[in-house]
Formats: sequence, C-alpha cells, structure tokens
Amino acid sequence: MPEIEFTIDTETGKCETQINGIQGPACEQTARQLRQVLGAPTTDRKTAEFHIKPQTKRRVGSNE
Amino acid sequence: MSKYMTFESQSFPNRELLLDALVECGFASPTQGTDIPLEGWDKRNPQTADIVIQRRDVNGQSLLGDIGFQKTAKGYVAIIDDLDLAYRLGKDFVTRLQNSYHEAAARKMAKKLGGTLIKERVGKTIKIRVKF
Repeated sequence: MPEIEFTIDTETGKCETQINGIQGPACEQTARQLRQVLGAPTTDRKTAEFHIKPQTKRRVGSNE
Repeated sequence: MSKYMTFESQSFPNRELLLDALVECGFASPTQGTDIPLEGWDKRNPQTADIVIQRRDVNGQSLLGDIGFQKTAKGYVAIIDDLDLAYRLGKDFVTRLQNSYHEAAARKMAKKLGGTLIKERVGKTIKIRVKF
C-alpha cells in the first residue's frame, strides 16, 4: 500500500517526507502535490526504487 | 521508498494551511486582504501584510504590534515584533506554527488522496503516515 511518511522535528520545524511504495515516475505526481502544499524542498532525492521499471513477463503456452 | 524530500523554509506557501495552523495555535480570526497596515509598529518603519492578527484580538498577551504574514514569491512570511517574540509569544513561535502547518499539510494530503492518517509522537518528533 503506498504511503507518505511525514517526520516533523518539533524543535526545528523541519519536515522530512518519504513517499513509499510507488515505483517509477508515477511517484512524481504525488511529489508535485506535496510541493504545492509544502513549497520548494531543501532536499529532493529520488531513491533506487524510483528507477525500478515494472517488469513484464511473457507467458509461454504449454504444449498439452 | 521512491522519493525523499525535506522542507525547512520558514515561509508558508499555502494560505489555507497557514490559516489552519494559526487556528491550531489559538488565532482563530485573522483579517485577510492586501497590504493591510499593521498597528503598533514604529511610524518610521511601517509594515503591511496580507494576513493580520490584530493585537487587540489576542487575549492575555498585550502584544506591542499586530502579527502579519506578507505574501512573497516563496509563500507567506511572518512579520512579528522582536520584543513580542522574545517576551510574549515565545522565540519558538514560528517553529510551532511550522509544526502545525506541516500537520495541516499531512491532513490535506490524506484528504486529497482519499487516504487514512496515522499520527504518532515519539519524544520531540511527530511521525504521520498517510496511507492511500
């Protein structure tokens, strides 16, 4: 299940966000919505999961 | 995880969320407009703002000046008298407002995405998960 995790440091007011469970550029749409409410981020990093491409498998028919 | 972002700016990009955060901090009825003059400021240094909490509306604080939020390219920026921050509102006032703003942002995202929100406080850290 996709999620956004907000971690708020109440002493500094700093907010970290992680978008989890959305692979590939589809995640960018959620990130755009976050930027609309939180403004321009100080750090903006794509993680390894971002670059995973959905795999397609070829179904091989049986000879029966 | 597919994306990681941090937000540290002391400006508030979204008017609606700023108003939510102000309500949470106890300021329920700000005046809204454009370039509203702030009362209580030195006439040699007049200030205007687009969201104003009038000092007479703040009970029990005896503020020296109105609290204002001026719209800039990066969002709304607080205009607060230094002495009010030091002796009345507390030096961490803007940080507390930021925390409330970030919580309001999480609530807004949960609503926008039709998700559920789980909030947990661990020491001085608030963790909010929006599942959708």
